[in-house]
Amino acid sequence: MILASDKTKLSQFRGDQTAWPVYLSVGNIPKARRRQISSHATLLIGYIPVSKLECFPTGDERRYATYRLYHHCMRELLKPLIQAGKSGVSMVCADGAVRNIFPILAAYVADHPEQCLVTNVQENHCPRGKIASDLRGEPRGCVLRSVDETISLLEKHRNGEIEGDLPHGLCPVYDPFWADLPHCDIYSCITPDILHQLHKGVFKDHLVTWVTALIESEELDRRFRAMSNIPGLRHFKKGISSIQQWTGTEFKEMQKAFVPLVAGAVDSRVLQVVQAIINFIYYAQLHVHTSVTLDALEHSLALFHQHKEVLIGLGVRQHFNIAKIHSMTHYVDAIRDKGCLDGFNTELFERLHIDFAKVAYRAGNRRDYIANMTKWLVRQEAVKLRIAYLDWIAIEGKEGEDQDVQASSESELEASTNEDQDPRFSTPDTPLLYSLAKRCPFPRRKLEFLEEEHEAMTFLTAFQEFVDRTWPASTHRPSRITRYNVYKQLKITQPWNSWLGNQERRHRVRAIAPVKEARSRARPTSGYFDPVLVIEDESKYQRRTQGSLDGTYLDACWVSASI
Amino acid sequence: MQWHCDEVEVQGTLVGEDGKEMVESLELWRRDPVECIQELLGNPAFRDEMRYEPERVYADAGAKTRVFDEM
Repeated sequence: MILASDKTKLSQFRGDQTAWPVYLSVGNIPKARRRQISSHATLLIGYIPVSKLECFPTGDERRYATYRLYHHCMRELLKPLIQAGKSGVSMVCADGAVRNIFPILAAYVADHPEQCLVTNVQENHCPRGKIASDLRGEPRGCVLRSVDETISLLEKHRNGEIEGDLPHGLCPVYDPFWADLPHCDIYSCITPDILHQLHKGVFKDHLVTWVTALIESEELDRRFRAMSNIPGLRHFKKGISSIQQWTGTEFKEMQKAFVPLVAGAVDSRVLQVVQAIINFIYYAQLHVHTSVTLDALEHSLALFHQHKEVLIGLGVRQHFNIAKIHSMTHYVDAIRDKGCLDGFNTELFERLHIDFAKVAYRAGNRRDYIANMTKWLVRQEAVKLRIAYLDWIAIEGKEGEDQDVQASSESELEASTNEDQDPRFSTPDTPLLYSLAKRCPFPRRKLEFLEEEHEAMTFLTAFQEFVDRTWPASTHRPSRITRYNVYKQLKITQPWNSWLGNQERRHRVRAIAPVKEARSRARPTSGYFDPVLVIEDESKYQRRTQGSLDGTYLDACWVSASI
Repeated sequence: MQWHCDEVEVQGTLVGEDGKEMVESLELWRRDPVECIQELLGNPAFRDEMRYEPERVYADAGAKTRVFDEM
């Protein structure tokens, strides 16, 4: 069972309208489906009351009171799960079988302040481990907390056996909601949060700030502006210092170009730090991990810690005692325990806010809004259930007809599916696909067009060579009078790469000639000619990249010589 | 699925105008999580993709390289 919660503002104009939804999903559903909003794999199970709690004085007392309120509400919310987790509940599953289900909390997805709230820890400590708050810059030493130890410490504090502050940064909230949940190790349930910790924290707030301190922000902007225009990479035309709205996409686009951009401008040791962090960020995002990739992830982190002193030497930082940098030490264990991190993305839950909370809020008259939101949600779900049922009936009806005809081949089908390999590991048999525009923009052009507009002087000789090599027995050979259909771009579909997710990925290769004279309102533009790396000898290419991890997920565009 | 509303009373430590400690009344809206799990596990749209027991996945026949992707 996966829980998530995140406070959200419901309205930009009226202050103080906040909701605190709690979401639930199950790990039995594959993460690719859980990530899709349309599949309804995540449900809203409650709204925690939000209040300033003015009946307490400001400061620690009010903060602990908010913690206690949260834990009390979560305990009420999750009470039915205590019995269900101990003795099991019979449920009808999707395949029609009835199973005895024991729901156990396995993961809790939230950002850092909420993680500290859930684990009952002060915000300057690590929610997963016991490391002291001033030692978080060290790569080792953060031992995972233990639920039994925490509960006994809390009891002792409540009875007065321990006086003063609790050790390990614990807060005096005595009945955390997870104390009674069966088999719940809340500390291992805390999953890393790539968006806030890596993209926003380690990358933007820290790495980019450090680099900006070393080379001025104008220099960094100048480098971003000087990037060439390639499809797939965002071109920051005005540099990065003027960007106001930072979202996940901006961070990812910056990371794509960051290493080559700063190479040459900073010390080579600083570059090693930058490379180590960017490698870590990319490895952490893989959709499939093996022991090999996890070792690589750990190695990148070790490299970072090994070389980070250079930043102290250059005066950029005095220490590395930063929560988000410390959180990187727990990534490998979390992945080993709970699977890849794309299943625990906070971006999904923030997106769900829009559907469940914000739209629901706007649908009502904004008075007594939580009650209205729940009513709206019930009605929406009823409608969706009905639609899903009707769709299901339509499919079942069709299948029923087919089954009568193919009843005998059913047993054959079952045998063959058992032998089928797991689709994650079978190499796809489909050939590389490419697509061109339906209507050719420059049909039947002479060779001079290619030589003048596209400046391809050696085109004819290269083309003749290609034809001779590929079709040596052919009688037609290209000559100076052959005419060509010229297209502006080619789209190539990449083979399916399970490491990066199961969406279709396409590359665009452009060959657009520059527009020299202004026609009516068209301004003269420079041409865009994208370089392409062609593999001439497939076996040599395979041999060279065997064993190097970069070869497997490098996003290079390659065109098989057989096209 | 039914929504339930529970009233939560928070008793503060500051003293209000009537001389007694201030009490704030809040609402907790919730649904039964066991019913929600039933809803998720029973959804026929997930019939082909649902996994019911843990499995260890290896990348090669010799079980040397372990794969971690789903939970």
